[in-house]
Amino acid sequence: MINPQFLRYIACAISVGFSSVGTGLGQGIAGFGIMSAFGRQSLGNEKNFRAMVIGFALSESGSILSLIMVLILLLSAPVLTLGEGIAELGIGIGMGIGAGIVSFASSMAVHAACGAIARQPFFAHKITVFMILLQSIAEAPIIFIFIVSLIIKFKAVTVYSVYHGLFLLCASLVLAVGCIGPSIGQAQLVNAAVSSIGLSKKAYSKIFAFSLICQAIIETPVIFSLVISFMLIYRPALDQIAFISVIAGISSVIAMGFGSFGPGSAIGYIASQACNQITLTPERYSSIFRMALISIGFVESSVIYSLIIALFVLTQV
Amino acid sequence: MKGIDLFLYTVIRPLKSFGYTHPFFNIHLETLIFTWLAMFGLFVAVLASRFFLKKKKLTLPVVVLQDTIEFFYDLCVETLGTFNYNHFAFGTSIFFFTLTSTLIGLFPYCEESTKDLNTALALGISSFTYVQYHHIRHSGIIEYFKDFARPIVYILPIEIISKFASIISMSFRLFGNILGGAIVYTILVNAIGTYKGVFTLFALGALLVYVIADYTINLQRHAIVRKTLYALLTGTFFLAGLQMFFGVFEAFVQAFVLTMLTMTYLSIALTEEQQEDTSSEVSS
Repeated sequence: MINPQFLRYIACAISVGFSSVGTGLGQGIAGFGIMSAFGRQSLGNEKNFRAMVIGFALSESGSILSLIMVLILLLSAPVLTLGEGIAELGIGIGMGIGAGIVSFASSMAVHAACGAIARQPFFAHKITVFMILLQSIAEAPIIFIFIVSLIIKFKAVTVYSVYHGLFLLCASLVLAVGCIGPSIGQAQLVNAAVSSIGLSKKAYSKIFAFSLICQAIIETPVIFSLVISFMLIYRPALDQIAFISVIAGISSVIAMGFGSFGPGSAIGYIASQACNQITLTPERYSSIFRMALISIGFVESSVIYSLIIALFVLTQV
Repeated sequence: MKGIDLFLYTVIRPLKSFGYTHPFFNIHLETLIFTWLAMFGLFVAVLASRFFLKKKKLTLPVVVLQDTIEFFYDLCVETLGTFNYNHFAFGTSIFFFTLTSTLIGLFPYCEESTKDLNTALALGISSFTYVQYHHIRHSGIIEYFKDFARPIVYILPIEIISKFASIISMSFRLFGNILGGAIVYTILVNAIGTYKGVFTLFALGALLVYVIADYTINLQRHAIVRKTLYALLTGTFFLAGLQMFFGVFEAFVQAFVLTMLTMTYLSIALTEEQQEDTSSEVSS
């Protein structure tokens, strides 16, 4: 018999390792942006520095949350059953993937903000505030993953079989896979929005409202994944989980997690292109806005199919 | 790790004696109390702003109030195209209600009432109902139902589901973000070893001391007193700033996002009809 404690160590390693991959890559790109901004314009050096410090601190909050989770895992009582170990493995994978991809997305805002400040040093204050706002909204998925991980951590003590552990692993996996696509979309949108403010500061108020709404809409697949994840955790009939319900859990992961990949990134593409168009022609804002929202609505209908199918599968078993 | 109670509420079952024990009839006591407390705080704020506005002098609260109202006025004009007092009032009241019921969690022994899914769902449903009511009023009941099958008839079920999915996405966004912030802050406080909201009290006390000192003695003359008071203020506000990001900032952002989404749905509902009218005029 294997000691189930080893699953916890793997979970901690995956959590910290995966999250530092995304954070490192993203902060590298952000640092590259700052260096090229220095070369372009020496006037905004001081302001660039301030934006860089705030942006780096915010984009690291994903890895800090993952570190807190690892500390909670390591300091709690040792794992006794294999099911509990599997549930904690799910926590590790979820926190790792989520923190990595979200930190990458929020670092793109720092990259774009530095270029924008180099173009317009006298508009630096508003660009920095805008960057912080976009970053904090882009980091919502990691907060969702953190909630779900904590709930699973407190539930893991009561895990009675391997199947139940696998079920809880599905619950954190659906959120982790579900936030990859939307975060790629967020990275696209955030980059385009902040750099287009650098191109024309007259479009500031329009791009402010537009990108905020688009970020909120990109997050809908993540929120649907959160609903599915809650349904997997708080399953009404908990006395026996058979093999077939684990299959249902895995199929809901495939339906919802992978179903949100395409739409999430596609909405990001649409919204970033719309941001560029608003910068070029701010006077045609209302028509661009309406066309973008209608196309986003059509793209999002496929996420709703995924949600319905996943709910259907879960209620059948 | 003790003291983190995720979904622990004191539950009252008012209809238990009649035989209804369905969770739909349950009342969460904390949510009820702190929602009413938040509403009371809003009421006091409204009375105070009325008092300041009646004086007709340009004091600091008046400037803050004017800036806030101007901000929401601009927001309303930019999203809806024209100014409408009803939409303006609805948007601002949603913003301030969400903000107050979230910020109440910064005080000791208080809980955010938006942390409960029921409050978030109520906000989402009321915003949805308002938008649908104005859509029907604007375009008529027949046109409203025709809108569901606008490009092709086959799209009807998707349109109906996506309408109701907007409630879910709105309310779960608010709920998840506020709950996450509250949990992170609770973990932080547990790690330091104090209880919740103590930093807020420190900061408010330091601010009170500063205001009283500013009122009684001339601070410009006493440099030592001024410097100590500044140091006290910065220190306490730095401690309170630990909860700044996940408490104050997140509350503002989420309340603003909720307001913006309501306004946007409203603008989509109100402008589609006008666009078709103008296009038909041009073609004829």
